[in-house]
Amino acid sequence: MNDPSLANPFRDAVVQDAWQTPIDVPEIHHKAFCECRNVIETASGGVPDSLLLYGPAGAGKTHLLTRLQRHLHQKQDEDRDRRQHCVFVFVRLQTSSQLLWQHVRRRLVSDLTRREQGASQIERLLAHRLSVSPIELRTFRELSPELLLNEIDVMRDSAQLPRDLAVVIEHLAFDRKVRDASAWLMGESLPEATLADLGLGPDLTTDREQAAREMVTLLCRLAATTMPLVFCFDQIEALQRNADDREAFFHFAQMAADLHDSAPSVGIITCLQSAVLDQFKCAVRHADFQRIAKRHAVLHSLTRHQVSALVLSRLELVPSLREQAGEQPYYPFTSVFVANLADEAPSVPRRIFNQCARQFDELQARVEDQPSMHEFLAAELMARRLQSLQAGLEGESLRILTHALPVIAGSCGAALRAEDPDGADWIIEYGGKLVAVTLRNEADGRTLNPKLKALLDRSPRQDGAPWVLLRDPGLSLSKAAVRTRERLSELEAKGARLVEPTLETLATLDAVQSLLADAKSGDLARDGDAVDSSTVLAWLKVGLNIGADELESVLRFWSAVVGTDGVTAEAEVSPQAVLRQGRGEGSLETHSVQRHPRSAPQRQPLQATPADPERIEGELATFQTARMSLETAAAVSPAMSGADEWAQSAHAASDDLLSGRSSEEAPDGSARRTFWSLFNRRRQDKAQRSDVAAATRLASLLRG
Amino acid sequence: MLNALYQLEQDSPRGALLSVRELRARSVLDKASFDRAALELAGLGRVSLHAHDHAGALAESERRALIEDVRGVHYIGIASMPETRDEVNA
Repeated sequence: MNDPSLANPFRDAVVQDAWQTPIDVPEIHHKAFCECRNVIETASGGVPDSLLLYGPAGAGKTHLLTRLQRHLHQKQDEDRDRRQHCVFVFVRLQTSSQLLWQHVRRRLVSDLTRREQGASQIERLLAHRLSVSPIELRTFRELSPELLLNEIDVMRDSAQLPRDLAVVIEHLAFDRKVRDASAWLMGESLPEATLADLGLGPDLTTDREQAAREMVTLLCRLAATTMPLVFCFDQIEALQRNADDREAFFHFAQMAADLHDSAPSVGIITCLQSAVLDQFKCAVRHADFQRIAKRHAVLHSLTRHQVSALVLSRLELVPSLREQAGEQPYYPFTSVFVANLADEAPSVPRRIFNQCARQFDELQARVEDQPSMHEFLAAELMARRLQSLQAGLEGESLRILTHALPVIAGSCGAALRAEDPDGADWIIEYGGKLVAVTLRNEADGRTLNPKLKALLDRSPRQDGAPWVLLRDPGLSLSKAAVRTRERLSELEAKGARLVEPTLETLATLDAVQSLLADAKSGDLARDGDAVDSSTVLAWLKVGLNIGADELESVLRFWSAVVGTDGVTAEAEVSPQAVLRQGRGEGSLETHSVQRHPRSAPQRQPLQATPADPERIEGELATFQTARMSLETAAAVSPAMSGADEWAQSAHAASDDLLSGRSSEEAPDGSARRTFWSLFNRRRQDKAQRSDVAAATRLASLLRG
Repeated sequence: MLNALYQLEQDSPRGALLSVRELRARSVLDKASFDRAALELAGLGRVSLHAHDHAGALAESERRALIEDVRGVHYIGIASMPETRDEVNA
């Protein structure tokens, strides 16, 4: 057993989304799974149904959804024509409750256009309507396009679809302009030229949340006229701004109840963490609760038999261990060890896996110090940032900024309010100064221009706050948008600033959101124990105050937003730069980057521009190689090499909380040793891992 | 205790996780007796208790409304195990 080359089969146990295919033990939570199937069965009969799934953190709520997804997939495989029988939509609620419908819209479209075995769910839906297989649909597309067009017309009439939606569905059905068509369907603001190319009218949307609600309802109606559509909502706790936020649950229940009423063949499955049971029940309206919780299922603690099956399912992944299992069924574990696992409180899969992982490491003599809380969080942040960059941030800036800015403002000690009679998204008071922030992600002049005019009409503001326009770095104005660029200049003359966070900043903010969302939902675990959101917030606060390297881009962004003296942000762009870009006169003007005055160990200034694929690829490649470069290592290590600074900082109390060390323990080189030993361990496991898997692996190693 | 649990179950949707607070409000037992009874029933496999992951973040009064075991784990939800329910129904 003392073979260090054996991979620990109990690591990487966290299921992040329902499209994964983790190892499954069907007898665990079987009753709850049957309830999930019942929901789909009822919806198939034209009666909307719903289920509320309760379970403590780590009980396997998301895992259960993966089982349902695979079950549907299997049914499709068993079908003679490989026809789909249900549209499956997974929505992890890592968003703000103000953007709930927009988030659901993105997730719904993303899953409808997700390709498996060459066909998307929307293509399968069409194939189902035509009573053909997805492969035959492709033949139809080429040989009898008029038949497909006719079917789309029938669909449009039966579901009363507006023209633009029917046109976009046609594009998707014929596999044309898929990227732009999907972006439109997701609610992204598109330039006029793109809209014209798609054959669509101008984007005159004023209320994007309402528009998203209408689109989701239409798509539900469209899908549900053909086959049942099941929405699986996970991590609803992530919607909460703070632990007392009941409004988030209220809005969620209202939205889910509306979905329930949108079409007869809709099923809704909601995962709820047991810890928020009372809060949820108090927060939602009775009428909404009745719609979204027609059925209930509890994920109970595991029985001894289930624990045993769970452990064996993982051990079976290592054939060399199974060869020695003749006399000792759980080799390398003893039966006593496995029997005792059922006494864990709570006895949930995540805790079982964690105990086994630790024991496995011990038996392999691979015991290392547990990383401190801030080492763990810094590494998690970095891994998630890379994942975010790799997944792409197109169309995500609104969600990210809406969620992140209040969190960053709070962590920097600024006062923030969302109500403003002049239409700002936020008024931020920081260092005795006010700024009025507005998110302006309209892609073209026609939609942006009226918004800018409204801002000009309100400039200067009565409270003296300058306007700060936040805008997606991927959006640029066309050459034809002359009037819009003039308006930008006029705004600048009146003191406004345009801030375009870099791609790197957006990815870091996304990572912060993801960390917080997982913490709120009990899905952020360090050594098997849930890390709560207050710990993450405390770490963030300290990191921003001392200028931790992993948060450098966030600090630059914050400085750009609040216009901090002495710190000019790379993200801040003058309207003239936008004008030049529109005229094709080179890249955006960016100011020189000055490091945060209190920032800890120096490293190479980051050179990322809003779209710097080389840097991203470089960073991913660096991460993928076993030999971690100095820069990447530096992104994780400052918190460790700077352990003395932490200990000596004015935030000693937070540090104690975060580090998990008692205040008497003097920080020494052990943290650095832990860091390198973690990467050494990773080096052993490096074979054939993708960059995302590598990033996940790093986080997982640090999770313990 | 079990009677209070079954009554609460009857007043709640089938299969729902029940609130320890609500159950406590229906019980005549004092905190210590109530907690002991619930933990004993859980030990016998007659009920399933659901832990609160961050009970430390709750106010003392809120925490006291939960069930606490000797390890300091706090439980917020309770459900009778299906076998127990069947037994009583029979």
